[in-house]
Amino acid sequence: MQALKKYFTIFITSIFIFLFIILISNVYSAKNSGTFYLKDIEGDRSILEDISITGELTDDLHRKLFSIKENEINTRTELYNTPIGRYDNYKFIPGGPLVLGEKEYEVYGENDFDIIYHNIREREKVGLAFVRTEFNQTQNRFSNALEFGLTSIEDKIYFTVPTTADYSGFNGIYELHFVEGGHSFMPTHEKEEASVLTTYPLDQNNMSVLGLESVGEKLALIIKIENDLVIRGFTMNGLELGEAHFDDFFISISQDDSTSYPYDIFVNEDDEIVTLSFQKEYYPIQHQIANIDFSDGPKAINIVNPKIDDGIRDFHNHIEHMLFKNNKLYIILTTREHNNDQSFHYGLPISFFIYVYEPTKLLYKGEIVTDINDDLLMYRNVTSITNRGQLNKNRTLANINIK
Amino acid sequence: MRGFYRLVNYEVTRMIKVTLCLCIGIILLPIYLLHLSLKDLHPHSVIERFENIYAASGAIIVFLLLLLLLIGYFVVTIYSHYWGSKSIYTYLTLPIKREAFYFSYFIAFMICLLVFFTAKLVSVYWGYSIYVSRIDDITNGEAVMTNGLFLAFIRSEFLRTIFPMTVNGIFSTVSIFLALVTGTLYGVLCERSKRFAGFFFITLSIGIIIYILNYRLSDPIYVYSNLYITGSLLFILSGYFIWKSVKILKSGSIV
Repeated sequence: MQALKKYFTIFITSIFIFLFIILISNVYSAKNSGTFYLKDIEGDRSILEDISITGELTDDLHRKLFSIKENEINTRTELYNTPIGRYDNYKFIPGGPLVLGEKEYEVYGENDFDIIYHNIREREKVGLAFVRTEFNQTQNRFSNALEFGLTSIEDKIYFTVPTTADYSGFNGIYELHFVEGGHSFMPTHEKEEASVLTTYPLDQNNMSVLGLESVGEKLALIIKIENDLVIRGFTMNGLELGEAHFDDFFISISQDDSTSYPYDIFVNEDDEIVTLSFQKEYYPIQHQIANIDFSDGPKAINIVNPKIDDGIRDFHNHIEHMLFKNNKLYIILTTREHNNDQSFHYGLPISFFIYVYEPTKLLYKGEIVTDINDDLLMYRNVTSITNRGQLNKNRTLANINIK
Repeated sequence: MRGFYRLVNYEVTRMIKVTLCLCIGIILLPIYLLHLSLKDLHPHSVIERFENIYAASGAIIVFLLLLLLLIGYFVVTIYSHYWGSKSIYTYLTLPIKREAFYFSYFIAFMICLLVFFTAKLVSVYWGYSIYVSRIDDITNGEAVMTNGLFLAFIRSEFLRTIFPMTVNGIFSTVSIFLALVTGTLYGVLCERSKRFAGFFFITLSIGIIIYILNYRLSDPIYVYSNLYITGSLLFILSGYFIWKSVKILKSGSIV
């Protein structure tokens, strides 16, 4: 008893330090647990040996980095020192801003266009560029969200207008010059006009401009002529490099007067091969994918039509990446389960898939299984976004009565 | 050294009873509150994540209140040397250096805080297991997150403030508790020696602590505050508090 009294502090301190460390390290070491594996659904995964897949599963506070290389899956979890913002994992959604480098760009206008940027980390840093066009139009419509017309090569920004078949005259590829601190309301004479790299006529039969992209140090103009897909290459000086042509590419893609043609594009920088995907159907998902070789001026390679019957695609669920290599097309995409009964969309499970196609044949399909749907458990029994057991902080009219 | 240990041991033995009582509070009260939040759930309820239910249950307020009580108790134990037997006179005539008197308090406080925080950690573990078994019960095991305790620790602003797992978070949290303990001791010594100017720096450190907590307990999206800078300020202030406190003690002006 005397000894206990004498060594009481040492005794109690060591017990509690021990307990504290055990409990804390138990939580900390749990960062490496959690589900993460590849499930084969069709074909043999040895097909993935040609490529390596890396990525991360992340929220604002931590991320699980993973790599699939030579049939081996490795994961590592990192905690962020400072919670990250939404721009660190930004995905372009048509209608939203386009992030190029450290800035996000938005385009406004009908005949003349203002292109505005915000620095994504220091929002107060803004700039404005101005484009004056030479076309005539009858309706203020575009074939795609205006941001599809923006692209960058190193720190230069280029723009073309996604015009529809209703336009006539000349469209152009413009190199933008930004006035730092500029804003839409500044007088026109203070804006700096974009320089014209090249112009091209719009009077061809039924020609819609869908967007402008960059491939290494080349520019790719994506055009729909009648039902054909045409990709024109340009140098940074505006010299034409020829074009790739896909006949009747759009014939199976649903179209009417109001159709726009959003696309996903991925560039394999090593071989300068461009993979361009248009969505044909939303459920079951069908894509029409064109591969173009840009190494020596644009040349059409082939068209791939993957059928993806695992769910629907929504704004937050995209083709994550595509790569055309050794005559195989590798696709990684996110889908959301299709369920007409469930009224609350955001509660539906998400899946990640890897597809490998030889132009017409499915070689492999696998699922990357994770715990991501655990994050959606809080939407169980939720029927709408306002029914989450939280206060609605927006005012509405209610209980109106006339007697 | 042995004399110093005896002094620490004496203080710890004196303070441990009340500390352990507060520990029972910090373990049981949040569990009871969590039980209240969970008991009305049924199979058709919207099931929030553990950290959200925990925060909504009132467990955070209880933690802050009990922490304040503990610090208040620290203050009372120092003052108690002036009341009743006036043992402060005996203390100051002991054949040990006067700074030993200061550091014995400092270490005893730190040990009590460690005990208190370990109890809090036990309470979170226990609370999580109650949450899991309750949710398992009403959903037949369908709605429990894999690795949910880890996710709660990094996703909850409250848990990642008091039990940080990142380097800058640990730096910041340690600086806060060091400033709390040294500031409390310095405050008492200032009041005893009638050096009220010292309260300026104490107020400053309280201001910095509130600023840090305000940042870390909210969801900062566009705001960025460097935890190393504010933490360093607190470390510097703590150093100043220790230096000044020892100086006051040496001058013998606290009687």
